[in-house]
Amino acid sequence: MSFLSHFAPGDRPTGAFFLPFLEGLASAMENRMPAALTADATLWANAVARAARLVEAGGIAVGVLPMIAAESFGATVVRVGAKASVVARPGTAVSEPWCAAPLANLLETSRRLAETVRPERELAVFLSGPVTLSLALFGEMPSLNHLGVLKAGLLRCLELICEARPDVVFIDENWAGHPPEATPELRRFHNTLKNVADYYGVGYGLRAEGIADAPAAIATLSGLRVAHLMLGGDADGALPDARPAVDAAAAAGWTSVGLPVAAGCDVGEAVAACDTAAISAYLCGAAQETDIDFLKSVGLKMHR
Amino acid sequence: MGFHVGIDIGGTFTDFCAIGDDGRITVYKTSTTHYDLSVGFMRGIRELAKRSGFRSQEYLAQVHALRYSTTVGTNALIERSGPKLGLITTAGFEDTIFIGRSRSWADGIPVHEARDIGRIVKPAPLIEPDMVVGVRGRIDCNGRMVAPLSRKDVLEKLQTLVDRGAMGFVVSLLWSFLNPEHERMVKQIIEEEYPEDYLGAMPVTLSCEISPKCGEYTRTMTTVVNAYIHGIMAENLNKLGNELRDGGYKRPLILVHNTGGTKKVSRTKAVFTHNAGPVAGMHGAADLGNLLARRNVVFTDMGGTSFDIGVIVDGELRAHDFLPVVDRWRTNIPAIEVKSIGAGGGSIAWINDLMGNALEVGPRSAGSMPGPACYDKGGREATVTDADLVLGYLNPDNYLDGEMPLDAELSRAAIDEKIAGPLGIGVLEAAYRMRRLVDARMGQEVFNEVALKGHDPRKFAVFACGGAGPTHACGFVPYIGARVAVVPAMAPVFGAFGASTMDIRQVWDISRTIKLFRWDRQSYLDDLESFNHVVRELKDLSVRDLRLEGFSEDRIEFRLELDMRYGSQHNLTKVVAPRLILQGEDDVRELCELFTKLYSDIYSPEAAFPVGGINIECFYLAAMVRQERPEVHGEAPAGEEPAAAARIGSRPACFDPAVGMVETPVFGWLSLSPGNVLSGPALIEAPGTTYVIEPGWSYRMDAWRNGILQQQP
Repeated sequence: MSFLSHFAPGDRPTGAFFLPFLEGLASAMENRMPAALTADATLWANAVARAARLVEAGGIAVGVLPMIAAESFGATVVRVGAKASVVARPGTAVSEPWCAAPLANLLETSRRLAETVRPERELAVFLSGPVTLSLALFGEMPSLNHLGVLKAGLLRCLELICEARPDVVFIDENWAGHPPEATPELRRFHNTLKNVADYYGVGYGLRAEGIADAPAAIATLSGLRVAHLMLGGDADGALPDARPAVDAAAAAGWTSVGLPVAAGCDVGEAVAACDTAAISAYLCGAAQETDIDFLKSVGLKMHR
Repeated sequence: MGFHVGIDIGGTFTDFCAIGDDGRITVYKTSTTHYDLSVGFMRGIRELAKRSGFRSQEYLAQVHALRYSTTVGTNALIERSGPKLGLITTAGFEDTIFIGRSRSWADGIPVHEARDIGRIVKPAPLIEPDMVVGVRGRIDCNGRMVAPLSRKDVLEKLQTLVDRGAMGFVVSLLWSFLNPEHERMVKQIIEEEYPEDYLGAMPVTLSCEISPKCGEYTRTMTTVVNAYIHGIMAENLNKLGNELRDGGYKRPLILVHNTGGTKKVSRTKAVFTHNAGPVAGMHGAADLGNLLARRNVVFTDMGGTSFDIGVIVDGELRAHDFLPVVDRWRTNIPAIEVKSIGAGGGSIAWINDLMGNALEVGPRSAGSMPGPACYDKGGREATVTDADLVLGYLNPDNYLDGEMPLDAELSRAAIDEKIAGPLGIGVLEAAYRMRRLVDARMGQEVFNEVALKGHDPRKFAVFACGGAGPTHACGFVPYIGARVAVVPAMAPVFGAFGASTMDIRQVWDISRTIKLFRWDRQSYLDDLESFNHVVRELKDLSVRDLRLEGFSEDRIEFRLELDMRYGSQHNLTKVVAPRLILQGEDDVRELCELFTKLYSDIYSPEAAFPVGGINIECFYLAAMVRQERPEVHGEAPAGEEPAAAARIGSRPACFDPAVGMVETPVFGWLSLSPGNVLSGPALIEAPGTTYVIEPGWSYRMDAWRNGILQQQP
């Protein structure tokens, strides 16, 4: 299996691929609450690897909900089911976010998985991005000052993840209703992160969740000059139409695009949309998925 | 089609140079991946393959030889990541490596730090004091056993080391280079106690095998350093070898040695790989010097982290006059002499408040991660590369052939925050001062290396190599009194280029005192066999070793060097022996006269003192197998005027902050032709580097595309 490993050298991967989010399933398999699972790096790494084996996933995706990651930067976050909300904004960021949970656990989990899952599976790690963190910590879209406050901490987090050598790191952004905007400041911010990932030979991508008009957002976000885009659902969890999303991503010059699927959606349409020479398109989880039959069936379709 | 590939890992960039059978050269530079050197290594191989029109697998299958100057061992020493070793020495000499030799606490640190005696710190030892044991038993200075080794004593001491967690043993006993019997007995005892087929087997390194030379401190440290980095190097190189084999390369990986040659990984002593990169560059410089009929060359290589200087006299690479330092340890390996100072593109500028807010540059480097501020990897320090960018010398869109775009805004911000602001000057002025300062430091070091070693700098050509060499050549060359600098065509990857053309070569050395001219009788040596026996012994060793590599004896060339001195002097002078075997008194006399002539050249004829006796103290036999190289042909010169297409534009650059930025013509190196002449100010963008032709200098491209920089009188 080799798909995500093509991201770093700048190649365009070919073939079918499915990258689901399996922490929900892993929690169920371990009979633990998701928060309890991600609080223990050993358990987290072992459980998610077992879940990936069970559904024969080609890749393992690990990360924490974007808003929850803000906890490591100093925000007070409350979890409600699969969602999280910030209840206290510190107005600044702690200087060493990588030392605090949940990012500290994510780092350790990434290290363990990077050493154990290959070559059978590839590894993608998700790290909250500047927009999400700015919204969580300052309550507004990132200004130049906010980016300055976040940069050193986020950069070090990325470096530590990259030292574990996953195949790709996705900067996970949840616009939560705010229209995406590729400002020059944001582009420069991503450029720095991308350069660091590139030094470690790790692919660098962007995950965009909470965007309403997917084709328009895909075009706008291409201004960030990140090569790999993974889509999520909109603010209400509705998934974007696959074909227009693929066409928009190809037209905007993205190297790859991940199309989200979830139990109950029309997977056939998404699979058909992946069959294009214009861009590398693959399927990814829309959110934590616990339907084993669904996961296996998609995996079978994509990795047959 | 086949390829000879050279790879040189530096502190900031890893350089690749491939020479095809048709003479075509492909080069590539990528960031050094300190977290795992093999990542950058394999990245470069993939890129070379791509640039040659092959897939990696196909390319590697066609490579004749991969010659690699690695820093794995050096990194292990810096990071202190070696295994816990136990040292077994002669009872009573347990503190030898901690006491050191002379000012050993100052070995391997920059001069200005060595002068700061109040704050200097001794390096953390590679072997802790509680891991050193002394065993009874004694060999005297003539190699005779005066007290036997006690097996019981050795076993007790061995158990002590094992109980304290030893993972390997170094054995260094007094006078073992004359009689290694006791060291071998210790090894035998250890191997009997911990046989190889047991999990508890531990490697044993003997000083008589690694460094059979006089001087217990340097002999022991050479052996300790070798043992310390051996395991890590073996592990890393085996992993890399496996990756290469899986990738299609079926031949052995060859390592560049600091003694000026190359050997297979399997036939290499770890300590010989330290600082091999600059030695590969010197080898290339000597070759190029011969091609250009320049026999006396000062080789300089300004990379991202360090500035290396080597002197080639009469077309020959020279080994260290004194004991070379590896990391912080003085050793006695016969390494080629190269001096490195912390001055490169990544050198960080800082304000020294202890010196009245004086501007300083280096020796600290931003390295490859985060690198200079303009690399945009999170670095916020102002470096020499940032200064060059702010001054307009570098094209931010064409750095490393456009593979690494630079951000000039970040450079300006870093220089403003760290230098210009604190000094109360403008950013341009600060950048200019940074550049001049680093040029002056490099120029002064070059001058010291040449003039203070008894050479006349005016008789030397300066070769300016390295990614930043052509950018700074006009700045540092005048400091040695030279007006001409040669920038080799392969300057940005010169270490890799040198490696790709290196021969198989290894040096075998041994300490033996032979009195060639006796002061008491005023007569020449009559027991010629005492000399010839040592040479034959070394020759047998080298032939056996090279035969194991698959070379027949008729392909092996030998060169004998001797450490010589006047009877009671301390320092040694290296002399190349005109013949391997002495046949009669005339040969002895010739050797003595050679020594006296060389000594007189260096120290003046007044200092020569042959009546005091002439001794040989050490023998070095270099065995070499020459490798086939593609012929290099020069191109016919075109006119002095470059083609119109060679001028690719202009951009503002600063050569005097009082004048500010002036529009400066920019030329493309690939479009220039041999014979073309440019007058400064001008900039030339070449693959992997930028030439800065300052006002008052001219540039001429020679038949081999080397650049000749000349300062107008």
